[in-house]
Amino acid sequence: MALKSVIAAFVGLAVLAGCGSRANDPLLGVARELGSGLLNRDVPVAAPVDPRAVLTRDVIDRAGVPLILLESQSLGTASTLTRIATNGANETWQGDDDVTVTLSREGVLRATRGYLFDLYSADISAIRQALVQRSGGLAPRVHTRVVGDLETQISAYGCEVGFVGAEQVNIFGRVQTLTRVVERCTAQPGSDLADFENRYWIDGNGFAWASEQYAGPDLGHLRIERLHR
Amino acid sequence: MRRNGKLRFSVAALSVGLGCVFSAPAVADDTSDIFRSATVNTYGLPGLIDMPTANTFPDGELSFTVSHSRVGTRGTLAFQVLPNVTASFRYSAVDFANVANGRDLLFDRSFDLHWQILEERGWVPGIAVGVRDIAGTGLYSGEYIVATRHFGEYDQLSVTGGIGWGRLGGRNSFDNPLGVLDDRFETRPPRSSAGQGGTLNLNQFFRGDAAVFGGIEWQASDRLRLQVEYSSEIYSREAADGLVDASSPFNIGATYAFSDSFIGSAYVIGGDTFGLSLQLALNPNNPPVPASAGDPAPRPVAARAPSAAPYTTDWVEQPGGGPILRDNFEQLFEDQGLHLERLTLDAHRATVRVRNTRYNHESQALGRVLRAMSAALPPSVEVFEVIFVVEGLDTSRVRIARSDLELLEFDPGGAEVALAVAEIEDARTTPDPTGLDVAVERPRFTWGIGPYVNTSVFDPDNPFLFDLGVEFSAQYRFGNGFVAEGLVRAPIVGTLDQAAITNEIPPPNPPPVVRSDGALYHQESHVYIDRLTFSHYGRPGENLYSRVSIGYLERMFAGVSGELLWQPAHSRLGLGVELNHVWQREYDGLFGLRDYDVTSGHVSAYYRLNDGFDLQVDAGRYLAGDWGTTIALERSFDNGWRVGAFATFTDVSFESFGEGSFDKGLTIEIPLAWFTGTSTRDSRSGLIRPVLRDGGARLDVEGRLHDMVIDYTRPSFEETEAMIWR
Repeated sequence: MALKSVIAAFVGLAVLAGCGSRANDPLLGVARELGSGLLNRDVPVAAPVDPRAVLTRDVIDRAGVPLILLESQSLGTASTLTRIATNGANETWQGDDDVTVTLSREGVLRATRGYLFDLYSADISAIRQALVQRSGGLAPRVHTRVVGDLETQISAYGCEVGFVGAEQVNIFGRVQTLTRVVERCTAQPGSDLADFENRYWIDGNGFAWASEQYAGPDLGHLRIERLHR
Repeated sequence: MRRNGKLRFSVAALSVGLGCVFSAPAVADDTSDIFRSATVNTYGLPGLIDMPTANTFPDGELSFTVSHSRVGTRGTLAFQVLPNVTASFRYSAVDFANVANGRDLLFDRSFDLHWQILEERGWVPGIAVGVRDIAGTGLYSGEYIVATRHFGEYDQLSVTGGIGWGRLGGRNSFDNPLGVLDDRFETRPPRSSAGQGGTLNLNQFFRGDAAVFGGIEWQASDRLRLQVEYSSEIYSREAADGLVDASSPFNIGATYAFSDSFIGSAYVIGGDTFGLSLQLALNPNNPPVPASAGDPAPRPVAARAPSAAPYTTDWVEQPGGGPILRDNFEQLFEDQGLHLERLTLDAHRATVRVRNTRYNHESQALGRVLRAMSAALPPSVEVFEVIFVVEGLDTSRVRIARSDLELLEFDPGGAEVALAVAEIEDARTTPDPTGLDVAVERPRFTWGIGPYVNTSVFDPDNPFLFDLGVEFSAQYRFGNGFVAEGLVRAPIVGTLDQAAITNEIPPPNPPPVVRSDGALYHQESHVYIDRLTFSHYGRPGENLYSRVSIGYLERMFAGVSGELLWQPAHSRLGLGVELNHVWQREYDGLFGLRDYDVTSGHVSAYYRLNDGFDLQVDAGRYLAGDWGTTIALERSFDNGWRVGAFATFTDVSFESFGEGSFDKGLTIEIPLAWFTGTSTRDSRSGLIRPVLRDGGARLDVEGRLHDMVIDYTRPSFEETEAMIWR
């Protein structure tokens, strides 16, 4: 069969692809998306807006709604998120993208959704108690993720909570004296999980105005600042 | 920043074929694990160059290997069925000077089994037993017992030694040591079914003279391995034909891992024959992108504010309440691939009927419907029920308490517990709540026009045939389960018309021609009606599903087909009956019929075994009027990959069946979402059937019930339970 006729047929079919109310051949659809994805690779995308460059205390206070700033060091992203749901002590936050993070009302990371590697859930009862009661010591925690063939991977950590001392923290012009708390977590001996350290800057009620919290081996640490309560 | 990241991600996710092939090897913490993973030999199985080792591939891995040298081109698909059992199918082409039928090449299909009977542990080496060419024409027939042990700090050196029979017992052979057990081991008889292939060559296994083989493999770097082996294979037939001079027993080779999944090898056989091979390995257990990672975050559960007093119920009386709630759902389901069919509720219980056209992980669809209910329904509704609807059929009814939903959303054990506390029963077991009842009208008529690809692999004369063309499809739903639908295809370019007509030289006393003339349907048609049917799908009773289809049921047959399935919502067992009366269609694919007609039908049992295996047994009458049984066993992964094999035995004798002796094949189903991480229920399935002939042929009717409803039973929800909160 002549190569020319094959090419002609492909071109013809590509023009035709995608008429009607029913789905077309899914594999061709994937191939088409792949093709357009590759072709569009060099199309300039609107420059990302760094919230740190545009946000001011005045803007934040005028908005007057609960607001957090979320930065991912591994992805190099930063965005502002508003609270979209409250379920008991769990508050879920979303920005203008497809990602949500869920924090306890004190600001401890409970879950993420929409990242490539999500934290499905975390047992954070011990660290929450430590923050609210300002008591250091041992605080176990558990993370769950979904890996491989839909396996729920449960990772248990032994953590030690230490109160480091008072620090001046400036969040967009609001300067507060907060207590720096460090939570050092160690994986169970023999596991291949990495150890990590979370840092919180809390007020007298145990509320974390700023924190750097570990969300898993791929996502790494998220930095969260509470811009407005 | 975000859009940029998203774009990069979609490129990475979609370029699966390339992305997973060219990514660097993962750095595992346990280096010896990498070094212990099997090298693939020229036969596509764990080995050195031509010789086997006692290693295995990672569990679940599918490995496709192509090797080429003057002794032939071999394409092997190997599957690690169980942690210690590897099975493979091989299609090979050898350029012998004298090939029957005037072909240029001898095409041969063969199956192998490799079983690691002892895992390497401490000082004990791994030991494996294998049989090559179990049921083919015997070109590669040989058996072995082999031991492999790794040495060095990182297991970087492996030493293998073994004993072989048949083709592997050729060099410096000696009397079979198994002769001490029974004198019959000392001679290897000729194959029992001369020339037909397909039957087990049991009478030959481990018989005749034996020979020893061995080799050493050295992991020179993370990516490079070097092999040297002493081969017991003398390539007697190939050497006689002048293809190879295997007088030197030593083969040397090197493999290079371009990535975890893409490995190339170069080797020299017998000092003078250079060869290359490439291996592509995919493991359903290791997706290139985490499951559903491409999906947007779900809307969270909308938890009710705690209230000491009972929630008010007077909203039930509010005029226009039904349509308001329906609009809420439609808004919440927008762009979700979920479609509201019907909503019935009273003040305390709500039932939502929904079609899922996106989520391949059914629990993920369930979780998203439940969260939409939490947002849409007034607080007094405490009991949530979801019924997934397929082809207008209610499947199971999943019931969960709204307060459990609120409690479990972020619980580390919340996925497992949510399904444990949910009740899953047949939709017909409990009546719907009576009160508000809103149905959603959807378009009755749908149509589409687009390109299609039709492929055939491993035809007796051609490894790959295809057609590319335009198809037009349309469907009209009359309601109450009645559907008319059709598919018309116009091939534009392709090679399917070159497929072999497998009964050109008919076997003795053959069954009626029902499938072996398949190529004529490609040769004598232009624009053809693939299907044109009028069907009814129904629920005649609790746990019962029914289908009746009339019309042009498939490309080669028209008639009437009826089916009844018993499948409880919580059961691993399903039972079905199917009865058909069909006429053979004209080759031109229009409305005409030929003068062959037959009544066929089966009783079927479907059983989901533990550990991800599905067994299906069908017994009944096949298209050629033959009576018999089909057994199909599939390994099913939670993410939707399925790899299986089937075989049909009927009262058509092996001799009358012709080449292959009986109908058999391999099946594979690949969910497209696995590659991209973006939910879609689309999948690709493939069928490798060494020869399609007339014995043991079944009608290929659309809409068989078991496949349609099994996804919404408890075992399926539990397989995907990790995704309920995604």
